[in-house]
Amino acid sequence: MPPFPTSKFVSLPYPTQSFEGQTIIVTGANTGLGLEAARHFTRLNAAKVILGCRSIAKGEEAALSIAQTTGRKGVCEVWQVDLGNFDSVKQFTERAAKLDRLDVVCENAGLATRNYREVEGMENTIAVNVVGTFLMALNFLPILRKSWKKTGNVPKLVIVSSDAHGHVRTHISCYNLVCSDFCVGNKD
Amino acid sequence: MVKRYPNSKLLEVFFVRELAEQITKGSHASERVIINTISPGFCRTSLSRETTGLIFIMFSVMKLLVGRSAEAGSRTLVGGASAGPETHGKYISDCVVTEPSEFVRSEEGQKTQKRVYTELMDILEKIQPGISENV
Repeated sequence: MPPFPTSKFVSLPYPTQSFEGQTIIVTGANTGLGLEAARHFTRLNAAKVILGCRSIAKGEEAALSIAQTTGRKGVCEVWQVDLGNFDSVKQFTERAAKLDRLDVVCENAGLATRNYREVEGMENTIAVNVVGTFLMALNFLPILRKSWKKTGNVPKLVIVSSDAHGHVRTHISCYNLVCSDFCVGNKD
Repeated sequence: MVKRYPNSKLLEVFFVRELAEQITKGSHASERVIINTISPGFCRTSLSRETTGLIFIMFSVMKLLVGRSAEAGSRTLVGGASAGPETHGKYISDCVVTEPSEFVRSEEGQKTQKRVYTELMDILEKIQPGISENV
């Protein structure tokens, strides 16, 4: 990894591979990377693209934008989910369990903030980016395996991380981050 | 709170590395599924929307100088979604399987990875008893 970002000057291959017939879930799909990834999947002939969003209204705007730019209507569906609400995460995966198939999950939803807030009794960033994200990932595993058995297509679970992980050079503890006062109440 | 976001992203890298290994050794090993982490690079998105003051200015300047568009960054998500079994548990930066940070690869990082996995799984078990059986 370079010591500073060079992203603008590194060109990435324009996606051309087909996702024909596939069902794909993208979380945080109403804006930014999630929206543009969902747009690619739709353009690349996915049968169903589920936009996991906190706000149904913002999700519907995204779905409309994708339908307009790709010319493919009725592909995107908006499902409500909030990674900072663990019941919401469980309901989301329970709903996904009823899908005929599930080929790709892009867990893109996440946040960066300097403002200390608590949800589910823990600090918001850790609750959303880590605990909610892997609560969702582990609940997706049986659904993805079932889809593989049915279709033979190997499903992918993609976690959107960051080169920023390299900014931490000391040991860390989940208990410290999630449970102890380093997280709850500690605003460093 | 300065390190909270990088910490959260490091925990993701650790957990996915260990989870992939445990899946490969676990009772569902024969049922194929690929899990990987990707880095989209530095993008002109609203991720830093909650920053203020000097940091906000710094992020704005950086986005302008070195940031890629959300569309360009999103190609890394599509890349991860069409990657092969060689990416299982791996870190994919700019659409290429890349070594994670030096700390992740260090001896201390290896120990931390195991601990992060055990601790986070304990926390998830409290939220949803039995969830570890999904590995």
